[in-house]
Amino acid sequence: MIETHAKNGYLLVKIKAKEANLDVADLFKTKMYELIDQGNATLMVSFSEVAYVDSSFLGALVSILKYAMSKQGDVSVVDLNKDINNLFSLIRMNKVFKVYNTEPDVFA
Amino acid sequence: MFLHKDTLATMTEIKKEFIFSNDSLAMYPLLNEIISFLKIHLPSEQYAFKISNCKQILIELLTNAVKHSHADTTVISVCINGRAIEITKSDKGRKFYLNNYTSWPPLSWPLEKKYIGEKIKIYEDDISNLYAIIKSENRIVFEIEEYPITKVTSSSNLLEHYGLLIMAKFSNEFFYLYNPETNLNQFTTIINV
Repeated sequence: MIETHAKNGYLLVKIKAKEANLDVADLFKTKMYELIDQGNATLMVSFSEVAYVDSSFLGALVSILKYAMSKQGDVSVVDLNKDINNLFSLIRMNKVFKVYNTEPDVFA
Repeated sequence: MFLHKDTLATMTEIKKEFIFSNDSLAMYPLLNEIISFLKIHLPSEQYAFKISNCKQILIELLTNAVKHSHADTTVISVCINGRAIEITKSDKGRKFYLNNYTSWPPLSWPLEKKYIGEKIKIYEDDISNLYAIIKSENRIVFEIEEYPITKVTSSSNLLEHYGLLIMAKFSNEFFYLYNPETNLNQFTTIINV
């Protein structure tokens, strides 16, 4: 359900699901924890293929952020569609996660 | 009835019910069906942001139905009038769980009259609190209190349960109503337009 690409200073994780919801939240969390345990604590999650995000998935994302930070890492997000961007803004997740419009060359 | 795109202020009430099977695989098709219904009756670009808010509320109501309702089916009713879009989720499953909150004795529905006006903290973290305000023996209203977000670190306390918070934040009013005669649970969100 994810695809990873090594970038300059971070790992890009592309979500391969249209519906980022309760059906995939636990699996996503497990996969992301594994990546962090393998030493990839600085991660950027791409939502380019995602149509919507529910609260279960958002909860998993926050849990992953806390775990990455406990390993001196960080989690950012990129390629949010208009509705997901609206969600991040309204509940202020854009202050919790770094939000990028496009993949940056270097994680800053 | 189809309306001209700018006639919302004078329109009469339009209401439609949608049945949800409480199967997560049916979520996305139903979500699209309800959003199409809203777009047909609110076609103007000026409502696009409100419809985006409705979409997220619907996602949470449907997710809530799958995860928590313990019922076979859920009815989502959508009502559009000149002032607001009202979205209600109804089922005869589990009542809203109001037990084990800090400093509160176990509560059961209908609530005791002496608790009317009280405020129960449902969730708490470093950036917001979510409260249930007891309005009557059978009705609670959800409200959010937000704090400024400073730097998020590994020691920050951030909750991982956002469903109720999203519905409260995306609507102008969000409440739960229990009907003891029919055993019906209803979550209603009102989005002013």
